Order: sequence, then structure tokens, then C-alpha cells
Amino acid sequence: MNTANGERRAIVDIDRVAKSFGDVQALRGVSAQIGEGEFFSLLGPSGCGKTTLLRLIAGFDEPDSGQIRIDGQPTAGVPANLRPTNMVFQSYAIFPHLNVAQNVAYGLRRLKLGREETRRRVDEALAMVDLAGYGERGSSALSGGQRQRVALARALVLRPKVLLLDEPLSALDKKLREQMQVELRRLQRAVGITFVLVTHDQDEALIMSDRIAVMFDGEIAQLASPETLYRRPVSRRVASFIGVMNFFDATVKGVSGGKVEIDIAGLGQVEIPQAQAPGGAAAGRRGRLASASARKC
Amino acid sequence: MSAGARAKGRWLRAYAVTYLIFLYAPVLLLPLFAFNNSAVVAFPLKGFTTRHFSVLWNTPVLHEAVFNSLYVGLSTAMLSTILGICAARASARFDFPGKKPIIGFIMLPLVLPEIIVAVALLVVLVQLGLKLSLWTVVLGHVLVCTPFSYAILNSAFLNLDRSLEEASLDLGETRLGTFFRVTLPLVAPGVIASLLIAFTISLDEFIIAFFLTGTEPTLPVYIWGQLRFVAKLPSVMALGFILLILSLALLFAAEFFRRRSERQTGGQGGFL
Repeated sequence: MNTANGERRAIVDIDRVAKSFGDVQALRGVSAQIGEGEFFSLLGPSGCGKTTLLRLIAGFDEPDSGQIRIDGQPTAGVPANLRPTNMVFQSYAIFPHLNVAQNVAYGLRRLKLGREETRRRVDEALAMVDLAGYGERGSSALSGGQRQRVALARALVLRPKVLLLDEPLSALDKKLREQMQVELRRLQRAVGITFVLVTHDQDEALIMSDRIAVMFDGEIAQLASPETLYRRPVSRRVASFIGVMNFFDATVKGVSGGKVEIDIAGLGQVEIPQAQAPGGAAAGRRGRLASASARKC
Repeated sequence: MSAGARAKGRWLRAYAVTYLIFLYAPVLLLPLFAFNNSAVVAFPLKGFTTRHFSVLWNTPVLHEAVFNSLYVGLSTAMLSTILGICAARASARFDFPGKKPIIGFIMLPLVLPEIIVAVALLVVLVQLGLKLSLWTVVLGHVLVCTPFSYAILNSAFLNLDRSLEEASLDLGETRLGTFFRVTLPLVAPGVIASLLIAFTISLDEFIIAFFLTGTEPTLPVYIWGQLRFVAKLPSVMALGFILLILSLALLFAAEFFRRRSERQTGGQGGFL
């Protein structure tokens, strides 16, 4: 499960990464590979370690053990300012003493592009997030949605190899959030940069991602495409976190020719393809069947 | 509200007003006698004059004292603000062993009787064989001003959203560059407020200056010396009036910058 999609090269390679804060084990040996150009989500309840993992990739913290490679390069000891990653913060972290254009140009100064080129790239980035002409606005005069766009433009203007997004939509109201979900996805397709999104919102992850890593208690419980995650959750916990599911207790009666015959209490005997049976199906085994098809929408 | 509670409210208000009059009436006497055309400080008033101010203008010793005070005040303001920035930044951002006692010792001079501090410093300086000069006064003033600088700057640093500094690092800026491009501009109003408060405190501090000053008196020490001569009293009143106006101006400026800092970093609560 932990390999990147066949056609994609791994841009972020997370190898048995563990991290503790005092007595709390935030990550317990997490491994995953994030493919180039992929929209990858870390999904889980609060405290599951998803933000910790994102901060390790960004370089704000160092793992206790294990390593993270970005584009083949080990990142141990490389500070955040030298990593080819940029982050959109949950609070957006727009510099209040700079206007919109100065915010977007902040990281460009180090590149010494010259006034004209800097200006051109800032305008380009602002146009990309539909904020063309907002350059001279003060950052305190922006709405929540606009702040988020500025944060996006500020990160994307540096053309990072990986864009990290820490719950970027959680501060927006429902309507704007749904609009931004579609727009983020469109933006990601347009720029072709790898996006790594941290979220606790199942719908958000399912709508936007190519692949999702569902995390509980500092471990990845399942790493799969939204479709697989939805149809074939590996455990009851993943299933109930992903959405509203119906659960049936069943006993396996027999296995034959790729089919599993199960007996569901109160419903009688049902045949299902073996590929859909959770875990290894063997006669006499009792298990639970999660039905995603009855999910409320 | 019942009639009893209203009556009680009226009494409390009367009490508050009386209290404030008692507190500020002496200060109001300053301009009254500063412009009073008489050689003695006493009622009835004798008419308007500015001659006490021209006496000040023609006293070179006074000018030296003013210069000494400015020198001490500016040095104190700079030093205690720099120390305050370091301490506030450390305590707002990091946890380290002994943090609470260290901060406690920084704040302690705030509640220590100044005369104790002054005598203790004098003993130590004499034991060390250091000559008393304006710099020994600066030393004492830094000790009493740093708690104020720390308190102002600490709230400025605490109000600063940590993710702003992380964002700067993330965008490729170094730690030092981040401090100058993000941290300092955002706490700048706090820095200015700290400079102004420390300067104001140093300017009118008497006890430490009196003990630690060498042959060059600061302004408060000079004024104290003048009080022995009754004839000089009206001009001291005039001087006091000028100092009052200056102090108020500085305090208002400090508060203005502190509030601006709060607006910029989105913090709450006040110092004054």
C-alpha cells in the first residue's frame, strides 16, 4: 500500500519516521511515498500526528528516527529555509506590516531576480489565484478567502517542489470552503506541483486528493485512493472515520471460485466477490462487513 | 437600582473625585508658581511673569545637569531596551530550565526599595575600586528600567504570531534575516515604547542617581541641591513645569506606540 502510483516518481519519501514530544509519541514509525505531481492528503482526527508529519517535511522539526527524502535528497539537518518546500499555514501567516505584493515577493528577494522580473512573477502569481490588481492592498483589509489566496500565491511564486497545506480551508465558511476545494484542485492540476494537504475533513480529502493517508495515533491506518478507501476500508475504524457506514456482522460459510458466501444475521446468506471481503476470508471466520453504498449524502 | 445603592454610588464618586484632587493639586501648583511674579512661593499670586524661565536659561550649571541627564537617560534607554529584547524574545519563544527564577530576578528590582539597591550598588562599586561617574548612574538605572522594558517587550513578543516567523523561514529567509525583516518590524512599536518609558524613568530618578553620581549631577540631583536656596525656589518650579510637560509628552508617545503595536499584532490588554 505504501508505494507511489506506478507512473509517478516519489518526490517525498518518508521512511520509518518517528517523533515524540515529551511523553507523547506523535509519530510511530510512519512510512509513505508521495508521488511527483500528486495531490496527497493526510487525513485523521486531531492529535493523530498529521500536522507533525507536515512540519517534519517542511523542516520546522527534525524526526527522532527515520528519514525524509525530498526529490532524492536526505533532509536531515537541512533547515526549513533551504528546503524545496513551501507551506500554506492554517492561520495563513500573512505578514501584517507588508502589503499583498510585498507579501508575495517576500521569498523572491533572496533569489535576486531584479525589479522587473520580481514584479512580473508577483503579478503572475496573483493572477493565478484571481487576485490580479490587489497588489497594493494592505494585508489587514483582506477577507479570509483573500488571505488564503495571498498565502497560496506567496508559496507558489517560489515554484516549490512540494507545497504543504496545513488545514488551509478550516477557517473559511462552508460555501467558500466548497468553492476553494474545487479551485485548489484546479490550481494543483494547472501548476503540476505536488500538494500535501493536512485535513480532518473527510469530504475535503475525498474530493480533492489523488491518494489519502488515513492516520490514527501516529500511524498510517490506510493509504489508498479515495475510491479504494471508500469502497474497501481496511478496518472498522477507517470505515467509520471516512463516512457514515452500515456495519453487518457476518459469518463466512464457504469460499469457492473467487466468491465468498457469508451469512449475515437477520439478512440471510449473501455471496460477495472475494476481493471485497475484509481480511483473509476463511470458512467459519466471523467478521464485519462495511457497506459504503448506504452512505448518506 | 435602589435609592440606597444610588446614594452609595454618589458617595463613592465624591470619594474618587476628592482623591484625584488630593493627588493632582500639588502638580497643578507647579505652573501656577512657575509663572507667578514673586520671589517667594506663596499665595496670594502676584501676577504673570516668565522671568523664572529666563533665570533657567542663564544658568550654565543647570545646562550641564540637563546634558548629564540626557546622556544617562539615552544610554539607559538603549541598554535596558536591548537587554529587554533579548530577555523577552527568549522567554516568549523558548522553554529552558530555570526560566521562572531568571525572569523573577529580572523583575525583582521593580519591587526592591531603590535606596537598598542604591546603597548596595555603591558598596560594591567602591569595593571594586570603580570611580563614580555618569556610567555608574547608567548602571543603576539599567537595573531599574530593564523590568519595564522586559514587561513591555514581552507582551509585544507574546502577541507576535509564531507562524509569521515560521512562514519567513519557510519562504527561504535565514533566522537572522527573519528577525530583521519580520520580528523586529512587528515589535518595533514595543521597542519604541520601551525606549521612551526607560528614558522617562531614568530622567526623573533621584535616589540611585544621588548615591552613584560623581562630580557631575543629573537634573534631579541638581534640583535637590537648589532647594536649599529659598530664592531659587520659583525657578525650580519653572524647571519642574518644563519637566512635567516633557514627561507627559513622552508617556503619551510611549502609549501611542504601544497601542499601535497591539493593533498590528492583534493583541489585547494594556500596560497603562
